Amino acid sequence: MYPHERSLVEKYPADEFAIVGVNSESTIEAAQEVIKKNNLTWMNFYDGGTSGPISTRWNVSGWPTIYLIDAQGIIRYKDVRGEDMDKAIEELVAELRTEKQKAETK
Amino acid sequence: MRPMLLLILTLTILMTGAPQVLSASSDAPREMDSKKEEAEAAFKKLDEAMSQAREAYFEPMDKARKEGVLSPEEMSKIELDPDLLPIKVVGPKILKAIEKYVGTEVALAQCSELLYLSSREESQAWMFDRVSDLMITHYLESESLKNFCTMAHYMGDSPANVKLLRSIFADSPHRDVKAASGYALAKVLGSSKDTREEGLELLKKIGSDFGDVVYYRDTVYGDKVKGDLFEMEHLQIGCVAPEIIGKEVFGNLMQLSSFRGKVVLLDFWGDW
Repeated sequence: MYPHERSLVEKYPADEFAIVGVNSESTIEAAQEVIKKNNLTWMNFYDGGTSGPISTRWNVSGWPTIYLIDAQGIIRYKDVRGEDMDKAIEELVAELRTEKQKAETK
Repeated sequence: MRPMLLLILTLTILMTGAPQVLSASSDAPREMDSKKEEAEAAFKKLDEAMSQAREAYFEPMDKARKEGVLSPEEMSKIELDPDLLPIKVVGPKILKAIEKYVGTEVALAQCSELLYLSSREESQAWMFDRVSDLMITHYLESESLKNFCTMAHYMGDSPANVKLLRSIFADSPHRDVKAASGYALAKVLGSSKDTREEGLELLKKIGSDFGDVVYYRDTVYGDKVKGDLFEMEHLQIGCVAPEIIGKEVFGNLMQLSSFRGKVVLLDFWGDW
């Protein structure tokens, strides 16, 4: 997963796309270590374990669980993986670019 | 020599005389014990047959893996022989053994396993029907049904699964089995359009009537249902993502809404 995620972060400009992680490692030291070791450049909430407050509120029962949220903050896809995930991100970023263009030409 | 002789004598008495004396009171449980042992041995053999069948079925994939590293996409393109499906090859033998040893706990565990496997293959729906009927006829009183119930909502919304869960929920004498079967039934009903309302009603009922029963580890059904209801209301496609405010891994405060204006991949993850 990490190389794939890294490639996504590299593919899109930072003002169009971001990964926000919610990490459920059982200790914060373990979370810090895995982030340093794998050179993850994106931000991660720390949830204090699999039954942490964020995972509980979002009713997460399997890891990884993925949500794709558009630029307006709307949930657009749940649990897409692999190629489907890439396509979905491409679609949402294209939407964002069209919106921006519209706003500029006005 | 003498202690040895005494031992043999004692053994002889125990083996020949004693059972006759005791037979009046302990024949039935003894028979149960030997049936249980026989059943365990039979199912152990079938487990082995199952692993061999799995190996045979997945052989083309193993071979490909040994020949070189393939991407997941390439792996998924490898064709497997549908006639070698383990459930097709070994399933009927397991079913036969279940029928023979029906009533034992070990046969019940096998029922769950068969239901799980047959729920994944449309061609094996007949087996799901047969096994679920056996469970309704012979196991509604068993507390071990809980093991099946906790996985049952992954087994689809077939009429047979709905019927089985309804029967367990109505007739089980055990409160934890009732909670687990009711919860699974609510999830299954909630997953299809025509029965969504009934599923939602039942889900709320499980939350209120069985809220204190343990779902998994330190989570009770009350919390689980609360989470499910929140998900249905606020975490569907088209909903505004709920705010998350908290500390990130290195201690800085952050919030999800500050990413507005960008496409966000929200990833719940752990390195395990």
